Amino acid sequence: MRVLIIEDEARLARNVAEVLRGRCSYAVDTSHDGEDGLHLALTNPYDLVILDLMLPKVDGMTILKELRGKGLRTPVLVLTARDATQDVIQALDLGCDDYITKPFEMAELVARCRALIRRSYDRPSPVLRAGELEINTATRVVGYRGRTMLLPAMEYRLLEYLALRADEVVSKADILEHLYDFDCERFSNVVEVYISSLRRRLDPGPQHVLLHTVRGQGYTLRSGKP
Amino acid sequence: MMPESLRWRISLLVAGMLAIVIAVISAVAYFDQEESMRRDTDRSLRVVAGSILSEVDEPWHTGRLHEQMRSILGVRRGQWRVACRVWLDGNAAELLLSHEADSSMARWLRQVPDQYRPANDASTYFYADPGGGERYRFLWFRNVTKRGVVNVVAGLTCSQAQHEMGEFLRMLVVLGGCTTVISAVFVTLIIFWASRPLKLVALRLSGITPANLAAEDLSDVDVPTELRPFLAALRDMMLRLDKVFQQQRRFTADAAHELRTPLALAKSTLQAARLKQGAGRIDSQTMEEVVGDIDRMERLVNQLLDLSRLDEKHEPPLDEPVAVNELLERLAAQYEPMAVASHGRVTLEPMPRLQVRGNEPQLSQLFSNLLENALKHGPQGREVTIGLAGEDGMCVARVHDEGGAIAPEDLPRLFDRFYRADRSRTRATGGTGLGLAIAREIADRHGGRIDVTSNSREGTTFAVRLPLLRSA
Repeated sequence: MRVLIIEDEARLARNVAEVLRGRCSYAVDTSHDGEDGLHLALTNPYDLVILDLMLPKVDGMTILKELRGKGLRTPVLVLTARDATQDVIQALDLGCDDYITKPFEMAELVARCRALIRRSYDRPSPVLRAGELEINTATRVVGYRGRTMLLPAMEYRLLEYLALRADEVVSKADILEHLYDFDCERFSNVVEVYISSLRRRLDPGPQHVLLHTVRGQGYTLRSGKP
Repeated sequence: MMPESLRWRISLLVAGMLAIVIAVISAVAYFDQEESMRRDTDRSLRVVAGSILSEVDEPWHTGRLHEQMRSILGVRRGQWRVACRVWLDGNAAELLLSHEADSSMARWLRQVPDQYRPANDASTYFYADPGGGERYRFLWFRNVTKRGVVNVVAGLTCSQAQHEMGEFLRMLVVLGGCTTVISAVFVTLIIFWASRPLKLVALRLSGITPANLAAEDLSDVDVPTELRPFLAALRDMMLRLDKVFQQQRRFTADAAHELRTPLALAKSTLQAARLKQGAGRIDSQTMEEVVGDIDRMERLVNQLLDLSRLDEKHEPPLDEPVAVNELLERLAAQYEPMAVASHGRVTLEPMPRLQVRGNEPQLSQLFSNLLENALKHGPQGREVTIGLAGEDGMCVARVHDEGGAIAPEDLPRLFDRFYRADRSRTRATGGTGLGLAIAREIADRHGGRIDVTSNSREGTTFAVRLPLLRSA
């Protein structure tokens, strides 16, 4: 999953990004002013935007209005020092999905991020199930056909994304967009590499049950439901 | 002695004045009446004297004169109503005597004191008590006739008049007293009734709390026009107080808010490190960052305390001479490293020796804050210039940086607490937004002020004006 943090306090953004990458295997982009942040949010497909309200150039409330005005459906978590009920109500009414005040518990922030992303993919349960595949998004433990394992970061990231969009055809472009932040080099065949790595671990057999290639379109994770 | 209540004072004064006025009028009436009664008596005596004289002129026999006068003058209870004696000068025997020869009246009539003797053809009036305790009004009339100089002394008792005057006085006292008392009561009632609005206002005021200070509108209280300016002034004061309260509240909220950011930084840094490195090991970079956050909080707290001390004016200002040029030189040297670290420098223009009167640590802080602001606000790698001059009896210190234009509408707000013209830059460099506010407070306390000019050509200049002590 790919997350955008718009926060002008650089070190705070860095801290949150580190934790999201480390704990959740998210790809994270950070922006330190409102103008840049708004532009990023509108031009890239993020799964979550973490938004500070007091930003230079364009403030958080305006960004919220713009995002929702342009029809962006990405969940937005507002992270701010302003805790007055008026501010909370205003932000929620302008379209944010959750609100957390500084200072905050890092673990709580992370849990809320996960919850918002789950909900945006219409997967309310933290345990993703697709056929015999079971992914506990909180612990990142993957279970398949009775075996449990921990996957390396990028593979987990890919598997989780495909599982969230189970039974959909996911294009390579989508995968690249959602798995990498700006700073990463992207090689277009890296997806194949990770897919085959996943297959090796989970779905080795001659017939691929779980991960399927859809020629010319992308990949899909089949849950086995008719 | 006067009661403290205004209403009672007014009531007493009005009652007192009423009493005095009534007393004066009564006195005038009384004496007038007395005068009038006396004139009546005197007129009666003149008539008596006149009738006696006309009888005396007639050549009556003495006995006949006696009878005649007796019938003219009248008798009451065996006594003549008018006491009189008529005699001729030089002749001890009298022509007429109203009373028994051995009575005290007769004795007195025969020895009327000479002081009352009038001139010829003249008369005197006088009061006397001819024995017996009763007061009489006498007339002594001397008339030159063909028989000689006739003396007529006639007297009427005053007891009737006195009795009547006594009645009159009683009536006046009773009437006056009642009038005074009733009027006083009415006046008191009216005054107490008229002062009801004050009570109403007092009642309304007692319901005012810091919460409804601005909301409480006293304009609906029904007060007489004289009290309206008072109410208006009261309302103004309440609004001013409310504004001050709001400023305090906002300041406290802002301060708490400002502290949250460094707190969030420190906390998130430690928590991220713990998640990444495990609880056992926190690397030194993390420690440095957190210590920096704590420093930032400490700076903010100190500045807040400074501001609150300046607000409360608890600290007595040290009233000592301060050499401004030396102060600026010291500060320039102190901040040189910081300037060098961002590839800039601090330049001191040549300065005259100028002194102001004030508190050296505070002035040092004032200029420190300006210098820090200039170094942070100005672009990297440029210079900050400090100048000093004496102008029109004021010591003017200028801190100049080449940082670009602050918008004209932002200029007056620069000195507001927590205000930052360019949010991101000052945040990054750890500014609290209080430095300029504190600088202004200090300048105010020293009887001076700070002005700022800024444009993209010349950069930004802060000019501090302080009253000059003397140039040494």
